[in-house]
Amino acid sequence: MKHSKKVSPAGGSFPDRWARWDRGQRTNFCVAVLAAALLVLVCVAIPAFRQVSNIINVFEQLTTLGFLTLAMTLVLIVGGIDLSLPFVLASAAVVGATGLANGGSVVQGCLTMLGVSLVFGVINGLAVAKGRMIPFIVTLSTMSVAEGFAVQYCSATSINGLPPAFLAIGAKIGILPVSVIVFLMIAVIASLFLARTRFGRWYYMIGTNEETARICGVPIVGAKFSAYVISSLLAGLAAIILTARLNAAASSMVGDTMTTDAISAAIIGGASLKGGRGGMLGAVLGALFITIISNVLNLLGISYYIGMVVKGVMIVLVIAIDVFRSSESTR
Amino acid sequence: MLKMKNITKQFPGVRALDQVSLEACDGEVLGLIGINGAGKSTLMNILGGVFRCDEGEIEIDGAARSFASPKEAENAGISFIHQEPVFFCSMTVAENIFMSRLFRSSIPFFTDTKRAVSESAKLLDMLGTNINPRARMEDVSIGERQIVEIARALAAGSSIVIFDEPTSSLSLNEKQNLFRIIGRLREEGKTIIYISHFLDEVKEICDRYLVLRDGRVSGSGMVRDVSQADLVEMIIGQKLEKVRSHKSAASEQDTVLKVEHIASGKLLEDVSFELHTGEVLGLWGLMGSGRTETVRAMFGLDRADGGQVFFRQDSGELQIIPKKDLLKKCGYVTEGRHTDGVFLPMPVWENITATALHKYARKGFLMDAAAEQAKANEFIDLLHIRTPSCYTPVEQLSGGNQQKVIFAKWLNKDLQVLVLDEPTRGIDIGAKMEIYRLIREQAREGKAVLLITSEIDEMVDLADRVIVLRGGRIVAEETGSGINDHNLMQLALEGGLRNA
Amino acid sequence: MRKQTIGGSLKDRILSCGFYILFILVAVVYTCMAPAFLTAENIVSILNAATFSLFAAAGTSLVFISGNMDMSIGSIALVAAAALTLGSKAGLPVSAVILLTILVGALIGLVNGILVAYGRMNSMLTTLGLMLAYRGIGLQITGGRQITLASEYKNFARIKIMGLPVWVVLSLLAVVIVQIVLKKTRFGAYCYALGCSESAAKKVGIPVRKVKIAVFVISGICAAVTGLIVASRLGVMRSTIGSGMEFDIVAAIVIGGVSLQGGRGSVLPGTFLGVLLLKVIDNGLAMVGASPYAYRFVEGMIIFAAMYMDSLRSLRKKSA
Repeated sequence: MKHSKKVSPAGGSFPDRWARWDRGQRTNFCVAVLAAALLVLVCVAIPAFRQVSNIINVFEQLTTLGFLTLAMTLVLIVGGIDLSLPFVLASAAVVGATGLANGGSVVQGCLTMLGVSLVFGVINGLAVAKGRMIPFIVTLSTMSVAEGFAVQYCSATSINGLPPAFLAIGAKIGILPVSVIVFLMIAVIASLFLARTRFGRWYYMIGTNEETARICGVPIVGAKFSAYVISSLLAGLAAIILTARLNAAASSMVGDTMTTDAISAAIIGGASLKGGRGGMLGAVLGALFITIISNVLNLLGISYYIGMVVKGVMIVLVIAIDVFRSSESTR
Repeated sequence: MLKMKNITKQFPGVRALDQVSLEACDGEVLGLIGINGAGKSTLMNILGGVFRCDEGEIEIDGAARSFASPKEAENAGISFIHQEPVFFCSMTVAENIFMSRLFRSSIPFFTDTKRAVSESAKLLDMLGTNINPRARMEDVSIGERQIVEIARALAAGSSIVIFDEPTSSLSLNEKQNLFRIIGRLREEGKTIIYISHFLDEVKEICDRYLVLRDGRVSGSGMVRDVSQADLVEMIIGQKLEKVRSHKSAASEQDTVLKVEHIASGKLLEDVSFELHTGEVLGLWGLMGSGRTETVRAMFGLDRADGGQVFFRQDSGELQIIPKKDLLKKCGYVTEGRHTDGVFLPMPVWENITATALHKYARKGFLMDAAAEQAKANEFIDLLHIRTPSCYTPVEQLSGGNQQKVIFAKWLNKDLQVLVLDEPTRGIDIGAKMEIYRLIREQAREGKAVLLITSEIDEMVDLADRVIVLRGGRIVAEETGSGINDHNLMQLALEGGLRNA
Repeated sequence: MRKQTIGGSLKDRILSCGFYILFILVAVVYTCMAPAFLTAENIVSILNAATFSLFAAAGTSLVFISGNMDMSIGSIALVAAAALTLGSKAGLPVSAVILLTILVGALIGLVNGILVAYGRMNSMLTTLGLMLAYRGIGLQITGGRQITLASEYKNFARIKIMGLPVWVVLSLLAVVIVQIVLKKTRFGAYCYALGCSESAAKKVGIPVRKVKIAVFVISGICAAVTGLIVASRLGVMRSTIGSGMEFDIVAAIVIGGVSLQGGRGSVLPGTFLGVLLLKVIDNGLAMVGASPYAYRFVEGMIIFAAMYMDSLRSLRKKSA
């Protein structure tokens, strides 16, 4: 009788490790290789790219998209989607920045930003988890609300004059920007949260098969709700960091392409529209991939419009890959 | 006149049909009878163009035919009335009837809605119902939807209408109505094939019968010339009565779960039973008898109209608990392995610990993956789950091993009650035997097991006590020597009559 | 069994006409706040404003009813407007330019349709991505600058038929035609059937892929015509044409009672009233002197409310 073969928990040659990895780890590996290859290629081909200042710039740009990709991945894992994230960021930023500009303390400002994003997260979470409404349309409407709110709140102008204590968040320690350090820290925490906690496991279970999860006793409503709340809070964190980095807040502080960028990055990073897939490491790598592409398009002097086309086509490709991947796994 | 001659169909590993011949005349209802897996569906799928037969031929009105696709069969005048009607919910009854052959209007591109409505009204009138052709499909009842499907078959000009267990979700009234309609179709001169395992239905509306067993014809003739007991004989065959070799350790005192007056829509009316520790209680009945429905209503997964569930507390007392909480107290191996049994792309270890995450969560939060994997490996050894490692995604395992993973998942939670719905469906004989052994072990250890299965041998082998369901009601309870295949089959097939 | 209790059916009825109640409520509130709201002039101006979306909404409704989504319509409108600009610069005759823009719309719709029907890709995200790509193409063509069109376009937009601007008449006509197509033709029946259940549609032999491609092509054409309307009425090509239009139209369609799951809803009165309601709100907000930025906010709230009612309705249906 063939008995279960136990693989030693660590070490072994590469094929051994590959065999032990689950799909998520394999995807991470592929994305990492892809991102590294792109990085090398770009460094060789474009001299302007490999300058230290540019690399740091890339990482600084990464933070905003990175936070939103983490957030997007989280909701994609539970089988949902959140289109409102970029405008939740903007709303949080303008409210918080207005408080700061009017003499609020740094802590107050940060808490306000998180608070505003929390409100949107609660609305999305309640509607999707409790009201069983379609995530796409719920977040589409909250996106509209958030956008309208942000524009209205700051009367379509930019809010400046933030206190220096707050701007420290956007400063650099040596050559390392604080924002990047914070982002990496949060990414590690989020990664641990997803991979090591009961919540994380629940998310994967719900996204993989909601019916099985229900029978296994997973608190579906609570878990889904928490996913939307946490993802909005991540957008709130991004608001703090982006505001500090730009030294300003405005309703237009996130570009048109941010929503699709975050979705592309999440899917490149291994998440699936069908739920249950993806991880935080993949999300960071996916965001890095997209940021490098944006940066390179910029360095090459390619027009912003062509950049939009490239990104649009990219997301279509990415969705095609997702279709291929899932038809592959269901066989 | 339909003739199918010497039809043989071989599937990998099984001879599904072996020299089966069938004859059905115009203006007659032929009852096609047999238990699940006897070959009824395969035979009808060959007639319907879904499968091609390896040998044999089909003749309609004297002309040899063969169908490469369902569409071809439909064009040749063969219609299927499915158990679950195929329909478009927000569209009108008339549109549903004529969807595949909409009338052209005199204006180009337009369809003639008026004509569709009037034609539908004619058809529905002929069927003796007063369904409004303009009503939306979602607003008509399930029974009426079936009638609309029959009307669709008539609209297609079908001369052969196949009913596939049509009464499984109908109320008594709807059933009577359906029989009346089948009577009319017979008068119209249609050839009707009626698939069922309910003998009283066959007795009531069929002229001829054809019984299949293990892919062969085990009897055929005129219904009026045969007794019900003979039919039962043909369906299950002459088998040695199995003597039960094991005895249950259960006693009345140790009731762990008590269900009272559970009902759910038309599917379930007033089911009550008690489950004792150390016993395997079988819920026996045919498809649609309310087996699975009882369990799902009990767990509050489907709608339950009233009824109470009592569960034994630590103090030993039975106490009412809300249905939704019952799922936390019971292991539930579901009928659909892939739909609600496993997390297919997730590794074995995550599947095994899925129900008991709290055990491995430090401070209820941080998961201890190493402990989980160790536990999973324990179960892999214990249940002989054949997998390359505990990291392998469950989707790469065979059906039997997936089923063992589901068992492991619930055993890991260490619960008093295990509910098993078709625990061995679609798995090979070796894995089956191991699962049987496992179920017995669980009962011996003092667990209470509620077993649902459609395989009679499995029920006879495993159950200490059997409750027989039919039409959403309990019709009998058997213990000891009462649990033999002959008796159980008879009860399931005709139980309703005996108790009426 | 089927007869519901009086209370239940009353609630259902209120839920199913919730939209009309909302509409009347909005109208009454505005009339009280600004008496000028309910004048013939203002109503014409609302209709006028509605034409911006009406044409596109009519086509997109087909996509929604057949169970798909098209988020790229705003960008198609922009590309069409850009094509118009190019044609006008090249000095082509007006009729040729109009034909060209319609062709561009059809072509883009074809691409969308093929990706969704043959690529089995999720229509909502695919078209969301393509929205970006098409917008990029449109902006690249014009360089993002404002370009003045030849005067004949503006003159064309000024033609009036029975006191109504020509585009208003054409938009109303489009709505009526799409509604007739939906309710009276085989194709329309196929759209509903596909939206109800794709698997059932396959079973009864409906050419599912062809229908899918057709709805996207029609939606593309309608969006292109919208681009044409906007550009010719403005007399200039602007980079903002069609931006945010997809959200307006999804809102209008959903509010008008077309289900996102497909198979349900109508263009007339459904989508038509949905578009009108949004314009009424817009117009009313301006009349009561609310800030122009409040519009997006209110719109979002209204989609949310409409969706909430929709989900209540379907939850009820499921439990019944």
